[in-house]
Amino acid sequence: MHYKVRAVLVGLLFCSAALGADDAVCSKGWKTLYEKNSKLGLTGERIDHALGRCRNSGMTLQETDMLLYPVSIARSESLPVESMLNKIEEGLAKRVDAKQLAVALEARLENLRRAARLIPSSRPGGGGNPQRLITQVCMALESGLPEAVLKELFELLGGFRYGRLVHVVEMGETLQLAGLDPQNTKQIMDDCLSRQLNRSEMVRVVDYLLEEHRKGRAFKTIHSELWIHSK
Amino acid sequence: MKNEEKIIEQLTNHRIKAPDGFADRVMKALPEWGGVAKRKRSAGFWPAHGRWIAPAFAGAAAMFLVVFVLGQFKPPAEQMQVGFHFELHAPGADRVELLGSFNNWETDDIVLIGPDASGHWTATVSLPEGSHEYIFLVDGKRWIADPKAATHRPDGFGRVNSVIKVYEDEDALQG
Repeated sequence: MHYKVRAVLVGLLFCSAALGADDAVCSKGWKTLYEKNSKLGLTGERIDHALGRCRNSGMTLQETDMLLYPVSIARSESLPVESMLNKIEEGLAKRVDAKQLAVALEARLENLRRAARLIPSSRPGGGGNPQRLITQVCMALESGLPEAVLKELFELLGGFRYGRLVHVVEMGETLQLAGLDPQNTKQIMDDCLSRQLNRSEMVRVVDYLLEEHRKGRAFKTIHSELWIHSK
Repeated sequence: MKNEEKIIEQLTNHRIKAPDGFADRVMKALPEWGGVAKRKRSAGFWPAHGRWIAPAFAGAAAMFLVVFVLGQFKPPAEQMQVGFHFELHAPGADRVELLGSFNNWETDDIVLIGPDASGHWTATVSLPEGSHEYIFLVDGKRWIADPKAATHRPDGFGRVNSVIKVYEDEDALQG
């Protein structure tokens, strides 16, 4: 009896030692991953949080490394990374598998690149936060707003501030998602910029447009009525 | 000893009357009290021979620098937070959660209160300025976009998220 108890105890001891070793290796691996990303410029609480979420969601080290790779690429290209980290966290919450999540991240990285290319870096009077505009343009592209529409918008003359452009692009995305024709959306975006509407006024324009659009009225009619009220 | 006592006695009894007008002459010979004090005071505060100019200019320059630097320093603007009321009609649900970009898509973070008599679940959340995506998680397994939101954006995983926009000049705008 004594012998059996001793054997069980020794067995348990071996098991716990093996588990402890595995955990130690694991922690070392996560630490290495953290350090690797720190060297790539992804530092601070945000990356710590994202890593923690990956680990707690059951992602392996390799999978986490794969997910963070496009984020570090975005950082190295001076693109905003917050929306990418957010996408990782969204995917983890929705229990999306690592491969599908990696595809979504690649798509986001590509859209951020497209957005950055579209926005002229030396806009006269373009004070404000270009990173926010890049993110918003990326979202609009993901929502299906054609690149050509945005390109033409940014080619308009005028020293528009990034903040105003953010609101205009946001408005364009809303109209796109509501099913408006992209060319009509572009016309409204141009109108709002040239008339220097502020965000509240743009919201009123969108509300009026969508209400009339839902009634099935032709865009031309709605558009001609739209600016009569503003005169 | 006797000698000493004699000298002390002589000194004690030594009284010679001062000549007439002696006290007046002594007082006249002394400088005026007010003038001395004034000169002393001013001499303490303003160094003589213009030696105050350099320190004064240095002090003024330092003060100017401090004021300039303080003027340049702007504390980071506090991000505006707006309370927004979320609501979902889910009469048969046991638990409704709200996940979004504003809480880094955390589960077990924002749990809606309900259901009320009409089956509504509600939560009021403080949101920072900007555009936010969100979705409801019902009973830990059903993902439901807000049917009341005017805008829904594809999430890249085959579902849609609802979109809310919060800005300083408005309270909260859906869509």
